[in-house]
Amino acid sequence: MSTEQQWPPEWLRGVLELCTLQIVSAGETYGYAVIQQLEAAGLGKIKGGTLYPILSRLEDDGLLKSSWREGDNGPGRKFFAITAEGRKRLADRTERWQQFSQSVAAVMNTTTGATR
Amino acid sequence: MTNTFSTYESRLILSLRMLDVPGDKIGQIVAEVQAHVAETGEDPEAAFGAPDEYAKQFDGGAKARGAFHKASFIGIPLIAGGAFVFVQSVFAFAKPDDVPGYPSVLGMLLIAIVLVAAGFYFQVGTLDPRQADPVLDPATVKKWSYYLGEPSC
Repeated sequence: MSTEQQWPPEWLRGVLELCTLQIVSAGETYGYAVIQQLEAAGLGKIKGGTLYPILSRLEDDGLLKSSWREGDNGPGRKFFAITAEGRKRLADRTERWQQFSQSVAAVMNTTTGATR
Repeated sequence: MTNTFSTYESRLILSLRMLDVPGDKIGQIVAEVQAHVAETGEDPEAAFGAPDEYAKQFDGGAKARGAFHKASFIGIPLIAGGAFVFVQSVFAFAKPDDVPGYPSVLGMLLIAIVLVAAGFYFQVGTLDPRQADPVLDPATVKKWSYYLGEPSC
């Protein structure tokens, strides 16, 4: 069973865009490298069929920009970089995520307390 | 970029075409699949899922479909104009006195044939997405042949 299946898919759907934006903001990168970083961070092995549409949507929304670079002996790579608009969105969503996750943690702690 | 398409890529292109995804976007999607498969060695269907299911995530929508309909504003008037001239030529042949000022019947027939032929050529040529909106290799921005196993143009 792939690691991706260990996390509820609805959780991953909610965070992958933000995580992808964060990873790209650190420096120009490409799809498979993002997948590797997500896995290294503990989010499991995200499939190409999941990640590439996210990159495409982020680009269509103007949050990322891309460029193709020819490979030495095979297909080239599509590199992504964050835009100024992408940085604004990332900063906003990161702040809101902090608040959201704290709220969720507060609910989970309250519920746990009530069942004891 | 590779110059041949695998079975998976061909099926993906077909699925994307059926969803009216623009040709340049199709080229990018296919190129990403190629690059990912080349780097990871994964089976494309295992990495991306069935081609028709993967394609659904890139639905072109109404904006893409509109590009083909615009061609009708040129092709259809040409065909209609040619048909009109043809009808006039028939009248000219049957009752030449009732259609003064027109060129000879033969001349009108030639004009009608040219107009209709131009209209159909334009209509078919631009409605065929392979000509109106070809799949482009994103690395070279050139047209990609997408028939199974066939090298690019």
